[in-house]
Amino acid sequence: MDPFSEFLKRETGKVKARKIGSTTFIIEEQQRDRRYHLPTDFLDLLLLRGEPSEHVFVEKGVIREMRYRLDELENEVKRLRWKSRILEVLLVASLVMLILSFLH
Amino acid sequence: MKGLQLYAKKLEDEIKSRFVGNDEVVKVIVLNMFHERATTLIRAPRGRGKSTLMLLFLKGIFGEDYVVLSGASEIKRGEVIARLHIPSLEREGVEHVIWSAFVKAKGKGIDEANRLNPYTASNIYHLLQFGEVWAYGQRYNLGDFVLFANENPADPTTFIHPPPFYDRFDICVNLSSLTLSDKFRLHKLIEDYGSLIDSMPQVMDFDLLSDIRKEVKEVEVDVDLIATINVLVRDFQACIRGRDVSRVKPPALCEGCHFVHGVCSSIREGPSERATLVLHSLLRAKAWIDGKATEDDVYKLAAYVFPHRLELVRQDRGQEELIKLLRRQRELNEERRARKQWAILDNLYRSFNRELYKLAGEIAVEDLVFAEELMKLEGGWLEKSFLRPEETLRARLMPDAASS
Repeated sequence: MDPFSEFLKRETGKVKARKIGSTTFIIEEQQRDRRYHLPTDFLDLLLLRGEPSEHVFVEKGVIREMRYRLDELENEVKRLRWKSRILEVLLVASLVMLILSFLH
Repeated sequence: MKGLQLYAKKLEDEIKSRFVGNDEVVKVIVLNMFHERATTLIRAPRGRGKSTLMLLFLKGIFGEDYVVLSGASEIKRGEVIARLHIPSLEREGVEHVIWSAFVKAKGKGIDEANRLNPYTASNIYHLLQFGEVWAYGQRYNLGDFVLFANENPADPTTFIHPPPFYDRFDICVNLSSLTLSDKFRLHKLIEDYGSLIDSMPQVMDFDLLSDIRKEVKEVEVDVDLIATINVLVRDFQACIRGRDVSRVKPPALCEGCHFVHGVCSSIREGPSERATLVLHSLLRAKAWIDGKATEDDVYKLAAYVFPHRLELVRQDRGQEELIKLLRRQRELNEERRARKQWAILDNLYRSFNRELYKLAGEIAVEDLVFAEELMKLEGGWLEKSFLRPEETLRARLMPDAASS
């Protein structure tokens, strides 16, 4: 095994993971706070609920990344809304069928 | 502590007992002695003890059997490399080359290397690069040696040597001035010893040093530490905009770059691969002498391996800026571990998984070194049609490069 693969394998060995169904969960340890703060705290602020410093500067690339993420989320919302509509229709239809079956 | 380690410890102790106020520097130089063709550069303003430290080491290892060149600009080629034997040439017409004492000595020193003229410096550069010298069409192979050089870069008679010349020195140590209590200690030492250099005993000889080097070469460094070294050096080298080949350097090069807040934007010229090799050698020596080497040692030793190999954007801040960057890299490494990113990469190496790839992509936009590895994998996935070109990280981070 080449040293790089050995290193990756060793790092994998250090990760505690649990598999539930088809999803793998990583069991996290308690993490200490970051000591070094930079304007890129923006992502931490957004994703890790970190505390912002006095002023937060946002770099162009981060905005691009955020737009990409927002687009992805909006697409996901559209998909889910569509699924939920179908489920609603199915539910109403099955309720109607149930009522009709009782009446008969 | 075993036999040979005792000699190493004795060398360190004897020098520390004569050289005041720079204990960590002495320890690092001792570690640097334990690999072949060890070269050390000592930098300090005038009167800080550069030459004294160099001579203490040379005396401790070679006794009186060493040669020190003074880097005066008018130094002759015959003194540095070789000269022709005039009687043989005159009488027999034979070019008999007499190699200089500097070339033949195992213990070499260059005092005030900054004053070497470019011609002499290029001869020494060749010596350091190939372990050989050429004169009058003949070659002399130097074999193993120990070389010390010292310089005061602020000296007005300085020649500016090219970065590759300095890159050939394994480590560069800066000497600090003495604190008040250290000054009292130095005064007492001079009273006790008379001459610090004359009083320095020969602790070992070159054969013994060669035996130590053989033992140290056999020491295996833990793969985690090797990874720390490699990641650190790569962090200091990597630039998504090709800093090494670009005529524009940071910070101008970083304008509009996604990684503008990364360590890459603080470095104008990154270190060479020699930094990796030297750090590896130093860690081996540390493990050999102390029985263990830790991640902490990697960052401590890096402060001696990088200064003469890097050009920082804030070079004016001196060593403090490098220390700050190293501290930041250490924290970044901790974050990498917390993100389990190497484990994610390992899984992606084994097989493509879209969800995992998405997660890796999110990590990669924060970590250039990780992004480089992920982009390497993307090539194979594109060929297998696991990904569309527009979905790749390359397309997101380097839209121009991806479209071309």
